[in-house]
Amino acid sequence: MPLKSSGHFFVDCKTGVIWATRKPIEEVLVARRDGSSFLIQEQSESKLRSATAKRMARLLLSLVGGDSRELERRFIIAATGENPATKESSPLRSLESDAVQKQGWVLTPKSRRVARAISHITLRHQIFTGKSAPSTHLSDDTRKVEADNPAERSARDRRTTITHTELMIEIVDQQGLTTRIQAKHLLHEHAAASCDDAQHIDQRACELLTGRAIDSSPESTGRG
Amino acid sequence: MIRAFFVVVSGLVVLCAFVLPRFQIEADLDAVLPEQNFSESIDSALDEIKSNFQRRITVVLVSRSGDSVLDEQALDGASIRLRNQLSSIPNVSLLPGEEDLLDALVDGLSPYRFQLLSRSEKARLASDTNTELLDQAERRLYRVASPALLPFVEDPFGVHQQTLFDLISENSGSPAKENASDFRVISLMLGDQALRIGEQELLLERIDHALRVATTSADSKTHPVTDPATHVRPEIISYRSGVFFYSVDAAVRSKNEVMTISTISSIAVLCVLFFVFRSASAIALALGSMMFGIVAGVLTSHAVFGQIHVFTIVFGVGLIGVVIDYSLHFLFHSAHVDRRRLRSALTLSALTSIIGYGALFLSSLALLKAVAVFAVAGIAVALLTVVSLGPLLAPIAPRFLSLPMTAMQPLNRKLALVFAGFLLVVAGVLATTLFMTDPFDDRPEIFFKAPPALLQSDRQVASYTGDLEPGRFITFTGTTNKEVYDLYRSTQQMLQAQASLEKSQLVSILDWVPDTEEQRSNYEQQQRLYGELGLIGALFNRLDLTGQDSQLRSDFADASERILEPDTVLTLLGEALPVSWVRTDNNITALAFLRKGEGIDALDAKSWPGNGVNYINLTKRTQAALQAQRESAGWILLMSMVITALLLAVAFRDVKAALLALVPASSCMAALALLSMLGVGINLFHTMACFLVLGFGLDYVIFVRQMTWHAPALDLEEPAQDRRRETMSTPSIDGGSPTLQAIALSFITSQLSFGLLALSSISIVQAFGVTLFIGNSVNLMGAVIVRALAPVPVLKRSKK
Repeated sequence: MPLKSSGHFFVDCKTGVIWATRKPIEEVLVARRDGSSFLIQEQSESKLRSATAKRMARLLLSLVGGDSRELERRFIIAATGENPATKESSPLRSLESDAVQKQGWVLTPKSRRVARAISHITLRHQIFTGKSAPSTHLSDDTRKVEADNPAERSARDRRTTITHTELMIEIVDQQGLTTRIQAKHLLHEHAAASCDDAQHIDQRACELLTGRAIDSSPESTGRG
Repeated sequence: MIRAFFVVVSGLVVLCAFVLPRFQIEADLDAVLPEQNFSESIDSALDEIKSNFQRRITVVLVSRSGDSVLDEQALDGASIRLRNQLSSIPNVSLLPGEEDLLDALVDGLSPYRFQLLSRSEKARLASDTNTELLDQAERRLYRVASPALLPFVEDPFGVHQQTLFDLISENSGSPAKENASDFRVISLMLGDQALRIGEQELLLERIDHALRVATTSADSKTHPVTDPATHVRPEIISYRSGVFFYSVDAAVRSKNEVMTISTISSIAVLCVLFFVFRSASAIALALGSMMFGIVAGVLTSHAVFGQIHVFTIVFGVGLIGVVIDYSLHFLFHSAHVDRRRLRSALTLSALTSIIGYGALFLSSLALLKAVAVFAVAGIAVALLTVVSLGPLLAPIAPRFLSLPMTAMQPLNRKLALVFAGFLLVVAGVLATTLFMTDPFDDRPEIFFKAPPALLQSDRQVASYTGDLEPGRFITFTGTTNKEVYDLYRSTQQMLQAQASLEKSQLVSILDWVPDTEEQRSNYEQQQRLYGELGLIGALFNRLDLTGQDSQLRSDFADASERILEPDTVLTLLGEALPVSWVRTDNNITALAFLRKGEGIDALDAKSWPGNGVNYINLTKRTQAALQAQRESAGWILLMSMVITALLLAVAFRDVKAALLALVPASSCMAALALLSMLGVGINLFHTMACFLVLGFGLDYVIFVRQMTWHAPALDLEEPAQDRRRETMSTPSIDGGSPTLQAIALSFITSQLSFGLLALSSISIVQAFGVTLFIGNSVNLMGAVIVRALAPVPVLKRSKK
């Protein structure tokens, strides 16, 4: 039986990732592309200073952001069910282009040290579809286009759109102990919503991600 | 007989010269320093550290594009390329990278994990409640970016992993570690072969080529590391640090500069010699005697000491520069004077130099002993060359130079006396001034001016890798581990209290490995987690992993008697860290490094009790050694002057002849005092140059005395010729004196050969050159005065 956790995440290619774990613990990790990362716990907030903790935060950035080159550098990647030893090309590229409904990959660490603790990571990405998003969630540009052209709006109403995606990261250690971390990514039309608009994401985490709150962030060293 | 001996000696010299390339030439400054009276274990530790320090090169690659992911990708690529390039270079071995070291530590320390607890983990276990510890363990398990060094079932509370991280972070000492994503450190060790002078330049080229390939191939079209959105390509900058780079830089600069100066001076000397002698064989005799002398010096010194230091060659070659005088005097006088008299003058000249330089052998210092052997052998062989080959040359009629000093030969005796008195008074005043002040400067830095670019690169590397004081250590010696640990702790406390030193400024293997008592205490503290009633059961129950804790409990029970020894950690780290824990039959010595910061300099002034604790400052030690070398050389110089003065009195059977030694003595004093007045700190190299000044000065006065004062009374027809004493003994050529001409020529060639070195920017070379330039100029004045002081000979009138 895997140990399960769940929560939400928000990803922005330019700034980074917010990973908010809700169950069974409450904890938010903010991993910025500039290398800094923060941990927000129940009543405390800390900047991660240890190199290893930061490296793990960057790994999360790559996992969630689908950075195939970075992941290939660290892992042997195979689609679920494939033998990673015989895998030559990366199926992760499909994550960037294919409109898949459900896809899984097995990441086997190349580093001997990581392999000592982790047997493999399974990454599953599931896309959920539903009705189009309400106009309140549209960007200003889109609203302007639709105001000028009512046909655009009726077309949108008829379309089935992606409501959210779900990412599941399953970490299996060498003893077979499995930790499953699952998080939802709520998307908005054009996937252009700002962090502040994202549901279930704390305002403070957004401030840390966008850099608006870096100056006021605590300097305490976070435990790795 | 002499010629037969010469043939044998020269045959041996030529034969041995063929094996010269296989000679062991030592270039390490420490090799000439006096032995210190440390214990066997301290000496052993210092040797290891010195070797590690000299052979280590550290390269830091930096990328700061502002995008950590791009930086990391670019740096990893560059690191791999650099490691590949470097690993293909002969005599270079790559040290394990940070990741590999961490791997080695995790693997090696895992069996001892229950014996280790970092300060923060110890405090956490002591203060946190059971619930808090359980919550933290669960939180860590579910944390998405939780780093994992050990599998959950081996370290469910994260205690061991955090202890390892804390140990590495506390002992790395680098503030830059937290930005580890934008730099990479690569360390390598050079093999002994690579440190040889001939190999260094090639190795430097290869290392620089490797760096170029590593930092410029990032824009390879096959695998571009660019931001797809902005097309920003991280720029990788490399910094390198290591004694090796300073060593090569100094060697290259020295070689280029000395080559330029010596080429100019050689051409000038050859031109002067050719102008005077107009004979290739005469020039061959002059230069050949020097060459034979140098080869003989190198061979003898190597044979006696088993190796030869580069300083020995430099000083030795400098000192036997005096032998050019023998051939010059031979060439000037051989056609006009009795060969036996000339030979006796040459022998006396060589003998005084041999005694003067040979006195250096009385020093307790290896360098000075080697120089003595070199110089004595060189002078003897050079003299042998001149007296053996010289007579084989066809008679030569040298062209006299029109020089002011040669025109001074009829200098009034009274005027000469006044001039001599004046010079002696000036020399005396200068000497008093010299010794009333403290004109000496023995700091090692003055010998070595590092280029700013190298220093800057060094500073950059230090900012990334942690900045330890390069030559300062504290050693702790005891007979048991406990004793060593106790000394370490008490010293830490004492330094914190007295020297305002931060505890973290002392870096030792003892920080990595707790003493036996603490290891047992750490184990006991972890009973709370893994013991019979430990929290491990509650945690695994909470996670529905009941029963899976048995292996961990069993591992913990098995480890109860285990103790981690410093040797174990050092073995894991290999050459990545210098040896800092040495065990001999009787003693254990731990060595602590000092991190740069405030309070470090106060350690020099502090008095150390010495009961097992030794503070070692290698820079100060080198300075003290250089001071000892200078003082020893200075006393021997003085003694040489006294001995040669006595020898002159005996040789000339005239007590007053001893006063001739005042000429080189005044020259040395004048040179040193003048330099001191100009603000130059007097060091070992000025003192060694004084030996050459002594050699030249003695040659000048001996030849003047022997060839002009001892002239046989001749029957003269004209009293008007009385004052032309020189021409009475040795017929003049174009109206000049052959002795003064020979001295003038010797002066010119020596100033061109050695005096020009004063123009060098290398402080050692400059010190030698400038001392000789001043000293030899005063020598020349002295020779002219001695020449003028010659007594009027008793003339026999011929009977008509």
